[in-house]
Amino acid sequence: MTAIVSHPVLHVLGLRKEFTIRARGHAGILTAVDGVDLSIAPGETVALVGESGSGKSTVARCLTRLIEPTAGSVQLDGRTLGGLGWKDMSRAYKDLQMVFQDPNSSLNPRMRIRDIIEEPMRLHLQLSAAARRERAEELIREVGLDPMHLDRYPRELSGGQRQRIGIARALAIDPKVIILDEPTSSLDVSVRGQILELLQRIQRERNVAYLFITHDLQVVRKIADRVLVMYLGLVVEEGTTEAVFSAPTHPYTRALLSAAPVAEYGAVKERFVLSGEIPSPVDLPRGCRLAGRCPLVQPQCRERQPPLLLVPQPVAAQPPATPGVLQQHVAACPPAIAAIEDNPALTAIPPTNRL
Amino acid sequence: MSTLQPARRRRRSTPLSVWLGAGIVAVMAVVSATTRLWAPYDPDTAGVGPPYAAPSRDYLFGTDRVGSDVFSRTLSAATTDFGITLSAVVIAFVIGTALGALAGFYGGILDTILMRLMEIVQAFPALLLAMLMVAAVGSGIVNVIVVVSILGIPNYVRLVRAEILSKKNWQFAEAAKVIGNRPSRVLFRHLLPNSMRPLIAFSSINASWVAIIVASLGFIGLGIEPGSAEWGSMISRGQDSILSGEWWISGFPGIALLLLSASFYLIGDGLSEDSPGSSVLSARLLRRARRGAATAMATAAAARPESTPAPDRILEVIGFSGGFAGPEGVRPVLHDVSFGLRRGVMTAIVGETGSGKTLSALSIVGLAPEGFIRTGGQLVFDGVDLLADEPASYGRVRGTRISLVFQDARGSLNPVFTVGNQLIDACRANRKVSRNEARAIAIAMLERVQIPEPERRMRQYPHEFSGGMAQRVMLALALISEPELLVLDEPTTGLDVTIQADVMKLIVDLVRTEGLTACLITHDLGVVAETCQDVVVMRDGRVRETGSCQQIFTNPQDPYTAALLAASRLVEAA
Repeated sequence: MTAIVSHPVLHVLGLRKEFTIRARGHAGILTAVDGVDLSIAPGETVALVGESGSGKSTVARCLTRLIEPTAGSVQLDGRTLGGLGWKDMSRAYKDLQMVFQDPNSSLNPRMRIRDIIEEPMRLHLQLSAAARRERAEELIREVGLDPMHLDRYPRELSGGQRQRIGIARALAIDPKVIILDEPTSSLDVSVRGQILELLQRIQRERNVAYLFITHDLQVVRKIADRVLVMYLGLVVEEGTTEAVFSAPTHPYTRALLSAAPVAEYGAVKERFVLSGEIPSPVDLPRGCRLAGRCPLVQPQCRERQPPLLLVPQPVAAQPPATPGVLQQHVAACPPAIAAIEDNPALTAIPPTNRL
Repeated sequence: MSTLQPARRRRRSTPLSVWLGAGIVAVMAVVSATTRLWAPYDPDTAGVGPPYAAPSRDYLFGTDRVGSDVFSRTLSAATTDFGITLSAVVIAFVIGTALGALAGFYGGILDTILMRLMEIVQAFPALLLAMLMVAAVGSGIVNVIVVVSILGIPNYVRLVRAEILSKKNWQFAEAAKVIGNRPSRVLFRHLLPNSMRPLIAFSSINASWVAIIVASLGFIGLGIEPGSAEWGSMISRGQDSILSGEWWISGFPGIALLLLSASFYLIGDGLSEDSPGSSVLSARLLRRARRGAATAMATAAAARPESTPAPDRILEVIGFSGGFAGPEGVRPVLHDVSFGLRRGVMTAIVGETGSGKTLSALSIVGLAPEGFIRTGGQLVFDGVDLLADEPASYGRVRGTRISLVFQDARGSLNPVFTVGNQLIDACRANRKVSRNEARAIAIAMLERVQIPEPERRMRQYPHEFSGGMAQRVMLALALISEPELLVLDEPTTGLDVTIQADVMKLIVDLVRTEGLTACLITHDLGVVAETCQDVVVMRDGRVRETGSCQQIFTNPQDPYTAALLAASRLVEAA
């Protein structure tokens, strides 16, 4: 079950990625992504959150076909992207672009900024050299840099400036969806804010949809309309940013939110602590993947993987209806949901955190 | 995040050897292309002079057995040897690079077959194989070129394949794919141009080797048509005369061959080193800058009034300045840094990239990177200026009274020893205890840092620990010598938030229960707010503000602190 978007620009069903790994002689299957459903409406920002090993980056790489997914269907703007050769895929890239994590290595060090920005245009748009030039100048202004930077090489720019170039490159062919893979995690905090504001402004002006992969919950809070929380290859909670942050339901979400440090003196936090370590993704437990670490664990949790269930909403907290998007808040934790049903006051869980 | 870059953007100067080699090669190229202009006699005509004439004004390099002019023949041979070498290298370069690029990029069956083929070629000694092949296909310029290029190809294939494999998953290659480049364009437009530097260097070294092989073939009579001028065959024909004193017949072609081969080697060797010229330069700069700094410090020390450190501070950093050597003396990176660490208190040093926070902290432990030059200041630890008689002073306190925890725990532990061994060694290095006692202490230490099953974990290697667990081991290592001051350099950067929270909580608890003084280097104001009592804010090598945690967070005095706080709180507190 997932939030239903009536006309999604990106619609992913049952995405699955397995890696065969060989360690000390015997092979095993590592399930990095275990059936992820996800929909993004035009102009919407969906954040995919999780810690290392959650599979969030694998989802991004499967969607851009940097790696082949094992199973699942991907629809981009109504077209199905199953089993495409590079020719079809190259056409799909016209509508789907990506901004990479490390701006220092995602720009070809031997190309001028102008060529980096113009390259996608050369590949996808029939433009004259003069038109490309003009467009490159518009783009570099749009990302807040001066056209004089066009004739420089990446090494001559700062990290934040390079990330702006990465964004300009992604925008060059006016895609409908941009996947942002931790675009701010290698930047200083002061630059992080500027880049996020730039992304928000671009979204307002172009109505482009973002799939934002991140581990930084502050960034999610700032930029995302909806959040999907991933743990060991599965989405364990999904909802509007407001719903998930104000009433985190799945124990993993709660642990994640309560662990994030807050730059506030004397912020009173109640940590929701998970014990033990993340199990190996090669040898996953049969039931809920969090069962071994969860304080709410019930015997049935260890039997089978709990499904995503609707989180009961207090009437007052019903989200305002956005056309096209059904903003359900779902979580894969029956005990937590049962607890809310027993005691509706629990839905008004005080923010465990002032993020 | 706070990596130290002592010489960011160091200019890549081309070493002198490259220029020298390139100069000789260029001269040779010109000469071999214009032999006829220079040769005083027809190289292939016998009897232009008396046989065995010694070098003289008429016959610069003397004459040989049949009275041919050695100078003219050596020049003429340059055309042959140089031409063969260059053609063979170019052919091997082009074919080898293309094959290696395809093998590395596409992999699979193509890669397997190609690599096995290359291994077969490389299994034989090159000269032997060259002899066999030339013997089989017959001599002649074209045959020699073909054979020598075939022998060179495997080297290029391997080199390029390795380069491509290592860069295939770099983000710019992935980005090129996502933009919509066809795979071949990703390879040839993005990956190959970034793999050229080692390739150019190698092809020059390869040329040096090819010249020798070509001459060797000529020497044993397998080269080009007998009789035509070629250095190898000239050396061979003159070798009997060496004993009878006519050294010039073999000697001059030998020198010419050596010169060609050595010049190519010089170019290749110079290019493959990562700018050795500049490191020689910087060593000189370093010495000069150190001398200048020492004089300046002596003057400053005489002028400075005696400071009395506050008694509640275990460490006092006073006016600490320094920088890295540059062409105009010391390029300063730390400017008059002053702060103190109160006993039993956790102090944070916060700042962004380039703020100098890590450099300041490493200086406290005497681990500032090579090339850092102190230009002034004092580090007073427990009443003693550590800088007064370094490095001896650091030997006394580092690892015993001051311990350091690095950012990358797994990278900082020794991968070839078990965790237990490393703990026991650290323990025995600082305390007079037996091995068994040290073992007991180590196990107790692992328990204190909350590592489950410490006895089993003692026998494991660092790679068997997760990032969070490895950081706990680092903490145990730092604490086993019972230090008074613990310096933590971004101890939780790179760890997941839940793990980070656990490790930070452990650190805070340990500092409190052990009565330690701690200095936390971090860029994360969130961590600071939750763990520290005192804060030092740094930017661009300067201390911008110091104060209590409460004051810094609730009433920042410096505009930069306020800006940093605002940036750290992306979303206004509810």
